[in-house]
Amino acid sequence: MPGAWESLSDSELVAAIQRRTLGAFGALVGRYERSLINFFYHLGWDPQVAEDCAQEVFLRLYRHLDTYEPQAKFTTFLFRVARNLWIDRKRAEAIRGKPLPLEGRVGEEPDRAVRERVAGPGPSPVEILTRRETEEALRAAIDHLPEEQKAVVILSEIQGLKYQEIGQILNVPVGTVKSRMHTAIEKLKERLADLESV
Amino acid sequence: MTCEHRSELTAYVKGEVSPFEREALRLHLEECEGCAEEAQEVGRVLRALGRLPRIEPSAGFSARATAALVREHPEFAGEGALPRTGFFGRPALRVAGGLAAGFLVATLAGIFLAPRVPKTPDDFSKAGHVAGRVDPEYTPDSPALDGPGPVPRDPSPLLFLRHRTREERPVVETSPTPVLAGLRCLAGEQPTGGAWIGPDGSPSVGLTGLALLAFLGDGRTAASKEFGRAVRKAIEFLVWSQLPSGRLGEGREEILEDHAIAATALVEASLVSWDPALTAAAAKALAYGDYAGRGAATQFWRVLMLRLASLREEGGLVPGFPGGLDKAEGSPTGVAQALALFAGLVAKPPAAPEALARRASGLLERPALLGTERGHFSKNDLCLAHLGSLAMHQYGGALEARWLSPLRDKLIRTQEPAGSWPADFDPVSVVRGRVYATALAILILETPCRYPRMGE
Repeated sequence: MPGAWESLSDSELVAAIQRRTLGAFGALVGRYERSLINFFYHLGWDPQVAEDCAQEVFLRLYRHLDTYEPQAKFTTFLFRVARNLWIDRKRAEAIRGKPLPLEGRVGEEPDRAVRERVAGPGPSPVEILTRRETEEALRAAIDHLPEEQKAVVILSEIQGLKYQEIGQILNVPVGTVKSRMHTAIEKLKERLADLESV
Repeated sequence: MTCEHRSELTAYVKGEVSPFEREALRLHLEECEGCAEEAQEVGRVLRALGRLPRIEPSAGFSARATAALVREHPEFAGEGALPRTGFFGRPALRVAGGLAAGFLVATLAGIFLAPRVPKTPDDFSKAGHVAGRVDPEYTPDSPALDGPGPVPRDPSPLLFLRHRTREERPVVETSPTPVLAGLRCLAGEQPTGGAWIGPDGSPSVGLTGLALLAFLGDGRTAASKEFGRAVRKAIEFLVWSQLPSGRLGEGREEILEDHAIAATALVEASLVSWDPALTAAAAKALAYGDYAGRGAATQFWRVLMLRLASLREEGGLVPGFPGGLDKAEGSPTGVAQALALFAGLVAKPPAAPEALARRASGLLERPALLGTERGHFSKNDLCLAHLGSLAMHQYGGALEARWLSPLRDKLIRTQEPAGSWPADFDPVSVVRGRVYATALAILILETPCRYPRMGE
């Protein structure tokens, strides 16, 4: 496909997708796949579920493109769709029960598949142990947060979004984002208090 | 007892408070030991969150998502080719890297006072006044090639080459030539502000860069009789749009191609003008950006601009053409093949002849313009046609002719009576519009006279 897809803005790609240009859809997927997969990964810690959800978001995006306003920031629209999908998924799980994971869960079995894919230089064995301890404590602490606080933390700290954008995604005032974030950090701080390596 | 400021500390550490609140909290932290300690704790937690591992998409994720779309919406199946392995198999999004180390020249006094790209026609007319940052009487010290008379002293190899080609051209071409008709069309579509407008109604640095390159490629400069004004206004807009970081325009950090195109245009303009202010802006644009892992087209523009900059031997732009850019061999897309060939040819020293021959043959197997009838335009790829032409011209010989001749015939056949090329000439021009298609078509036609063989 033309290399110049990469130069198009999000709204230009959206316009091309609305004209049913497959290459533009592929370019949009390429641009956001990593962000979306990591959004879901940090919500559920399951890489397979993260990819399934990310794919479903891209399909939903196409279905809802007519509601996208080009003046609005595309990432806001994208993460709003992603957030809604996660809520739908949690509701369905509450009714039907959670499907059994194919890979070991955190705390039960080292998630080798994920760890092998994690980017970064090779640390020493001591660093690995320390980092692993911190990571797992942090994961457990995040899992204890209520969903609305978890979403704020992930959008802010993993996706790097500003409070303003998070407010638009979650449809809440900036003040609410601020207070959810503060409460979440307080809780994480308490749970991680004993960990020297944080 | 908990301090009343405690609940503000997370926002403070994250920089999510107003400047006034920031200053107030900073002063408070100097006095309140509890809050100062708390702020440090918050910082520790935030840093730990930032260190949480990220995962990479599994191989083929994009292809699977695209296939799922086609399954769900079969109407896509007939529109455009299915993705080729490679292009869709890798994530395009990159974590934004740091700025390139150090700027090469001092900033231009006054130029960066209002570094905001105008978004509306009204903004833009105001920008004309702000463009006092650029000297309104700005005229590059370059020779007027349109008029009669000898070519003044100008050590630029580009200008000599283009002048010579233009001198020779009337003997073999009709009037107006396809290039001249195309340039007149571009000049006719240039708004008074100097920037060509993108499909979203905003001035576009990418389109302006492409159009400016098309004028420069025909030997036109700001001093030319017919297109001098268009060239000057385009240069002024690009310099005006430059942010303090050197970035041209306000595009997404992840999308560097428009900046790379516009930077190449500024570098080229500076090579034929010798204007110190323009050279400073071009050098700053050249130094901006982390190109690691960018797409092949963006990388191609970077190699081109670096090689062009190194043509100016006494410096002023970059010290020279850096090594390590010739690493794209074996890549599956046509543009990546073009990049491998071009970078291999202009590198110092060039790649081995056998490797270059392999890359040139590989590129020839990627026809860029397959459709000359309206119903088949979706098979065209102007970006590949343009970058492939630049690479093949550097390679030369029979393979260059085999690549360029059919492109030239097809472009002349599809030029519209007004001098433009169709707005739907390839899938990207459907989005970016007629100016994109026309500028690239002109650049392809100009290929033989744009650059000397830079590997020699």
